[in-house]
Amino acid sequence: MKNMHAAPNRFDLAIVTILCVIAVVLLLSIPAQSLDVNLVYKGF
Amino acid sequence: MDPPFTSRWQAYGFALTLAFFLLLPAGLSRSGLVRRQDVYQRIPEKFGAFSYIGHQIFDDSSDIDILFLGSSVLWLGIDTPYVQYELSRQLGRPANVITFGSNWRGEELNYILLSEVLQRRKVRMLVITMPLSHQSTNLPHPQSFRWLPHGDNQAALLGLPLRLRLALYGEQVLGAPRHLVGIIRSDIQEKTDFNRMLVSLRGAYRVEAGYLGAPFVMQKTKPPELSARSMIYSPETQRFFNFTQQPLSPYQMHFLRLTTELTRNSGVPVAILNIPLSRQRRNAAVEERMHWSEVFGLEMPIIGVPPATLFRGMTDLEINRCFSDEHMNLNGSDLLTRTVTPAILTVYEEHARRSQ
Repeated sequence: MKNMHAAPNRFDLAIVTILCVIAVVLLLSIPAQSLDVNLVYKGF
Repeated sequence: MDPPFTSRWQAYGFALTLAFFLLLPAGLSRSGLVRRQDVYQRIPEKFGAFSYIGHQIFDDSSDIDILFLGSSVLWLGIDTPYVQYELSRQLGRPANVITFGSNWRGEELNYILLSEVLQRRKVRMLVITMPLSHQSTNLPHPQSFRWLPHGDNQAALLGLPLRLRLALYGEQVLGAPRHLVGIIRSDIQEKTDFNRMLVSLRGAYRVEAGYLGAPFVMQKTKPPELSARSMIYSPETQRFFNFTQQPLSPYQMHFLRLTTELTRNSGVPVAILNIPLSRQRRNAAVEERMHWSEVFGLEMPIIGVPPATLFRGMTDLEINRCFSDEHMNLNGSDLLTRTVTPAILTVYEEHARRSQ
């Protein structure tokens, strides 16, 4: 437990970075309209 | 600059939260707790007739004589009860004609709705619209996160390029928390007036709105007197049809191939219906992207009436009264449906005769 209170090392940050990259890639791959919470249909 | 995490707890807490949401679609799929019929009932009505469609797929088992399936152009353009009335007269028995309509075009949506209904109900003829010239997206339907949870119809996604499968998984990540909440507490929508309207109109959406915000003016127009044959593509009528040859995107092609294979394997005859847009009002020919039967190797009669013929003798103001924007309103739907129904029934009769 003591170790978990220490500052994250490079390995820890690498895991976080990889997950963030995956999330961003997925986010960028979907249509922008899917992220519009106020989306109103304006034809087609 | 301060470090993003001051402890490993924080870093791993953040990582675990992120991993939870990224893996949630697969986890929900494995749990089997997301019921397909509930997925449709949760979709807000402004995105399509999904509550009506869900009931038709999962709660009704009667045979369907004609299923109209397509995006908003078809949803607003066809008066389904009128087609049902005319088909009943032709058959000498009560016919069952329904429309599955939604906003935005999505070939994967049409394929999935069709595959789900064919798993449960017999469809005697399918009438679809094809992608219009400007509909060439190579991305998932913008609302697919609502109706395509991970695990449902995964087989249909095989064969897609990695980029498109990533996009679909991204949609599933986006939608998974909503499906999770749906398991925790019931959020099935109550029956609304809109749903009751859809039930009474067999799924059709009859819009009483004027052109581009103008007040709606009811207008009864006598449909042009055309023979049924003249509205069905053939060597004799090909001069009334114009194929723009604009190619389909890989995403569209993938799901349209699946759709045509599904109908072929299920023995469901298909007709393609062309519905005019406002911008095409003076076109002397029916505009389709391709000769679809040749592209997919499946006989699919194209039914359509050239807009210039449909609106012959009408002023621009009178034509405006048939549209709410590019879509037809109630006036346009009445005019088009009463014009093309004889052609639809002719194709139905020919298929019925052949299958006897």
